[in-house]
Amino acid sequence: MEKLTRLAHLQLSNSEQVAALADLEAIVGMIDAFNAADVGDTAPMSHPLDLQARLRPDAATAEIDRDRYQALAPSAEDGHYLVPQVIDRASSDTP
Amino acid sequence: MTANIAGPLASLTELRSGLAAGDFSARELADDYLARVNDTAHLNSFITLCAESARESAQLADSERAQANQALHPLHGLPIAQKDIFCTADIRTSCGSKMLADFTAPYDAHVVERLKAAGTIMLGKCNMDEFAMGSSNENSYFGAVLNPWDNTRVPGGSSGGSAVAVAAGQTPVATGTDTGGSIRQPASFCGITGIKPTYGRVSRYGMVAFASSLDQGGVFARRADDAAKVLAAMAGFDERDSTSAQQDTKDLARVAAEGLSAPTRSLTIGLPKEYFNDLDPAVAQLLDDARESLEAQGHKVFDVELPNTKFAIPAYYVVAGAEASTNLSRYDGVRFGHRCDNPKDLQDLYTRSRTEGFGAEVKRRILTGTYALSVGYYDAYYLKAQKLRRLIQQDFLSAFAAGVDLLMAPVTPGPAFALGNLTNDPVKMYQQDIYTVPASLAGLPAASIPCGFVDGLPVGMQLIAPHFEEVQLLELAHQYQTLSDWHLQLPPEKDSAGSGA
Repeated sequence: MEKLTRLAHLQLSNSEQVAALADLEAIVGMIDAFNAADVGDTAPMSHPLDLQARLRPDAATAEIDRDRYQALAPSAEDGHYLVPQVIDRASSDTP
Repeated sequence: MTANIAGPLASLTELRSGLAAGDFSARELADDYLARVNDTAHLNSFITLCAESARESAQLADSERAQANQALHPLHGLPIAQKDIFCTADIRTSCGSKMLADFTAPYDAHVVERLKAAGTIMLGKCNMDEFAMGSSNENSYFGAVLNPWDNTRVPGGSSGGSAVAVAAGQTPVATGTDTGGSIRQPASFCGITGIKPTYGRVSRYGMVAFASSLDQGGVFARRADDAAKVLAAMAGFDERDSTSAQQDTKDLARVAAEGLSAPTRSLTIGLPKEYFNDLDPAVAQLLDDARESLEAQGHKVFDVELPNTKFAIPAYYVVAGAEASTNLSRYDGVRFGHRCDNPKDLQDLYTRSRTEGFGAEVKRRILTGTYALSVGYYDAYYLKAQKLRRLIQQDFLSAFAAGVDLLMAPVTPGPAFALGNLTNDPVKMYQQDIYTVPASLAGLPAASIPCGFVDGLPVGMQLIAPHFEEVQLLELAHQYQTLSDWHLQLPPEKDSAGSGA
């Protein structure tokens, strides 16, 4: 659970971890029922219509309205998005 | 139920005629449905009600009608509700989550754009399971939605709010999305018609992603004919969605313009044996009655085998979980969604924002998907699920190749279950999707059509068609609805509780 929560960027309390582990074991047990299937050399299916990714013409489309987009951001200033400071300035500054 | 201006059972055709004849205006119609939403607010079917903008749009529609010197779109001036998964410019799109509780998109989803262009009036955004993950609509940050037939029961999910809004007469039609049954199951539980089109029929542009290879927008309506009209307006190629199908929509446009008629020939209908093994006998009886009714119209019904059906739930919960864990990685407090206060470092920002923003079921699915994709398990789970997905699709394609035009099956193992009944047992909850996920994995169009009641609760039958054969499916549904009136039953007035209420 510790590895999974780290990979998923989630934090669970001890009691939540116990419950999540029990749930996950039950879900994986349900999923393991498909081990009875013989898939042979069946090609995996990632898309129901087996569509090929297409390219669009290399042409400019509608431009992004920066002011409108930034009005929706939690924090923006002078055309820049502001994000919380997550790097310790003292330790990251180089001389 | 308080009467709607044109009657609680009015079809889109009747509403359109009323507008054209001047019996009522689009503004009066919108006001009428908005009043109905307020009268039945205890159902909690809307997350955001757009009363003011709906009235403005309706007034504009009335002006356009007064000045029109050419034919208006058939849906012009008619109310609709959108599942709160479709982005709407300047109106919040929460996806039922705390994570997006303050999110307002700067653009409209393709579906919203198309329906706006048709002149529909959006009444509001409907409640749903968080990020469309759920079969009961109990996973919404904005509270559970109640089934109008019995307020102690779930309405189904994830598009429970949309289904309830139509069933309770709050709107004549609503949009939904279906990843593993999220339109068909609530349609069945609420006694209305719900169709999930072929994967790729309706653009996913602006539809918040859950499982991208499965998600598909669709429609709730009382009648198949109304569903066809809305689907025709929504469907069509969109270059902004890389999985949008370049498929002709003339057949849909034709039935939208002319109205649905019965199939022009006798159809061969397959009954997949595997779907009836553990079915509630009362539901099985209703399906048998529907079968007899269709046979009496000259259709031929045969048993068919779809042997890999039993692997559909495991395959679905691996594929959907894996895609969800990837899609939802964008909610990190920086790119999208809720941001935690005072993070101490980058890891803390990501982890705390996600932990605070996501609900329990979403976390459960992310963890399942993360497990399935993690080093050492990829082949055993994700790759195997993808191979099974192809085998499940081949079962369907073989049946269609052998001459089956449509499949008829149950939608759910039984009628709506009690609120809280399955919340502590995710596996039992997932098993509710047993009859709906196979068509989702195969990308096939499928619908739930009301076919009777069990203990006072509605039940639907599922029709599944080959890819892009929505019209054939809707024609059979329409024929059945000319022979039955299950889709025209109204739930009791508010605060209903107990069976048979």
